[in-house]
Order: sequence, then C-alpha cells, then structure tokens
Amino acid sequence: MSEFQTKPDNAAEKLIQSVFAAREEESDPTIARLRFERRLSTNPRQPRVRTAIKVAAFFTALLVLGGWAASLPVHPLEDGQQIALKLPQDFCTAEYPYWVAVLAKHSNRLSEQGGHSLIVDYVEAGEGEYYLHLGILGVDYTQANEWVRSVLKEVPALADSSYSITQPLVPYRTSVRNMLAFKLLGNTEIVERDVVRAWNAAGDGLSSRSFIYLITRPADAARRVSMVGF
Amino acid sequence: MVKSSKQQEPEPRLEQQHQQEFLDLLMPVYAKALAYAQTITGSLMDGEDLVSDAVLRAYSRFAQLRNRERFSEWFFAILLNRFRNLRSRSRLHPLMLVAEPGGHPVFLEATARTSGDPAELGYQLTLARELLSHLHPRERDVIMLLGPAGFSVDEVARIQRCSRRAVIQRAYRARRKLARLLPKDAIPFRLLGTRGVSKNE
Repeated sequence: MSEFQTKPDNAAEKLIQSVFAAREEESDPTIARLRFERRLSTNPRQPRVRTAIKVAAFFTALLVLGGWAASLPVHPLEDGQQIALKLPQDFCTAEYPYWVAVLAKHSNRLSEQGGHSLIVDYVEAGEGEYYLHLGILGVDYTQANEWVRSVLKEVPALADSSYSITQPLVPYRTSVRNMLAFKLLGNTEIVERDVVRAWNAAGDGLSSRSFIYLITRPADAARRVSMVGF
Repeated sequence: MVKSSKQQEPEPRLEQQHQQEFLDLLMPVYAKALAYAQTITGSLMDGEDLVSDAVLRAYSRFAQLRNRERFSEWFFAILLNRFRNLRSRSRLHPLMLVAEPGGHPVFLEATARTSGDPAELGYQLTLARELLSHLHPRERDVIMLLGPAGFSVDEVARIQRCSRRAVIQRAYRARRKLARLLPKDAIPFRLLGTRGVSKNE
C-alpha cells in the first residue's frame, strides 16, 4: 500500500480510462488556445477583492450611513387638524359604521383640497352624549372648517350639531433615530419628550390634565401630530 | 509627452504578458482537463462549459498563484471545485446522447468522429458517469486524478489537502467499489481508447 498502481485492474476502470483517453485524444489545444485568447481579451481580469473585505466594507458603509441618517432632523408638520363633532341625541354605538360611511362619502371634497388622511373615532362625553373625533391631515384650519360646515349643511341629521376644532396642533421636530425607535421598538417616551419640548417652547405649559396623542400610520411614518386636550 | 505615453502603455502590455503566461501554462493540461470534465459530467458540452468556467475563474485568480510549477494541481483543484458548485446548483444538465443518438448534429458529428458510431461515445460517457456517480466525490476525484489524469499521489494529496495515506486509501476503496459495480468481462463493446482491439483479443 506504499504506492498506488495506476494501471486499471477492473472493467469499470478500464471503461473510464478509455473514455478519458478518447476525449483527451479528441481535444485540440491549438484551437482552444485561440478561443481562450479571444475570450480572456474580451473579459479582462478584474482585480479581486476578498469576500471578508467586501463584507467589512459593506458593514462600515452601513454604520457610517446609518450614523449620518439617524441624526437627520424630521421637520415639523403643521397640516393636521382635530375636530370634535357632536352626534345626534339618538345616536347609539351600532350606528357608528353608518357615520363612518357618511364622512367617507364627504371626504372626497377634503381630498380635492389636499387632505390625505381622515381618522374617525367616537367618544362618549357622559349623559348619553357622543362626539365624533375626526383627525384630518393635509389641510389647514380654514379648509378643515369649511369642510365640516359643508358636512353639517348636507347631512340633515347633523343640521343642529355643534363642532369644535378642539386644539391647535403642536408641531414638533424630531430625528430619524427617534422615529425609528418609536416605529421599531414602540418607544413613545422619546417622541413625547420632543412634543413636550415643542409645547413648552410655544409658551403654553402642559397641565396635569394634558395628554399627548400620537397618530402614526405605516405609510406616513414620519408624519405625526401631537394633541393636548380636554 | 514621451514619458507620459510610456507610463500609460505598460498596463495593457502587462495584461497581455500575464494572459500569455497563463495560456502557456494552461495548454499542456488543457486536454486532460477537458477529458476529465467531459468524463465526470458525462456530456461533451457540459464538460466544455465546465472547463471554460474553470479557466475564467483560474485566470481571475492567477495572480495569487505563487508557485507556477504547481499550475496543473492548482487548476485541477479549481476545476473540481467548480464541478461541485455547479452540480450542487443544478447548472449542469447532462444530455443523454444514448436516448437520442440521431438528435443534435453537433453531437452526431463529435461522436461519429470519435468512434464511427454516434451512439457509442454517448453510451460509454453515460456509463462512465454513472459508475463514477456511485463513488464518494473524493474517491471519484482520486481514482480519476491518479489514473487517467496522471497525477502523482503527492500531487493529489495537495489538491485534496489531505495526507498521502488518505489518498491511497481512497483509491483502493474506489477501486473495490468499481470492481463490484462492473464485473470483469462485462463490457460488451469495443472500448474507445483501444481501437482495433476487441474484447476477445
């Protein structure tokens, strides 16, 4: 077993060697050389970068870009309004989908003015009184006011209702890092700190009854409205 | 100006020298490499594709080869590696010449030139591939490299990055398996490499 005898000693090996020998005999290195000369000339040698270096470069670039992007400020938005609209006395919660449909029908006019989000909710204000809470994004105060007036005029059941654009919005600026923390980890505290800072800067100190309401949607992640109310 | 044009010239010239050196080293082993590839793939075209792929890969890494005297070992290691990778990604689809001997004119011509019988080469290629497929990949490589490819035990040990003893053990193991797969005198046709010599002679 010190050395291997290369001469085939069984039929299978003989067959393999004969096939090999026939193929070897058939090949023409001269033609192959011409073919490879042409092919290697058209495909010049590329400087090869080791995989480890590529991976390291990728992660370094990711860190650098991430560090830079995380500190980018997200500017405040001032185009959100919140409306509290009193519902009829005979309103019951089973009718809520009907009112959503009514407002959805009238939301076309809102979108013509640039509005792009309408959030509908209802709250009970005690003693059987209900209010619709409408959050609108993409329109200013005047446009929101005109729209809600038109709704009152065209919907007979709301003809005697009252409404209020309950609170001015407190626009605040934040950073990509904070928004990512909020979106990915649900860390609301860091965003609320931004809101409180903005509110104090606006000159109205927060009372103990104040709350911060953050509106977020996947398609509109950076757009947020803080509301202090009631 | 003259100086600057001289400075620009060496790049393509160096590239050309590099290419010529590569091809000078490749050509002596080309025939064996092609035969090897066609035998293990069981297909003329897949074998050519495999060698072309290995040549391009080897050329892109040629600068890393320090000892040019070991070019053939180095190239075969790349060839075997490419075969394993391509086969695992199912990029090689061996064509069964036996099934359609009168099929593609390229095969017809290639097989007729070799043996005079278009079906014969296809059949033997397929049979060789089938026999080799029953071996462990390393055993298959050892039996092919030590036998028809003509490498020494030391060279195969370097290609496979193992000891001489391991190479010889694999060779004997492969030989035993092959002997069981195809008993003596089981080949009912004339072998391709033994023209004019029949089984009975």
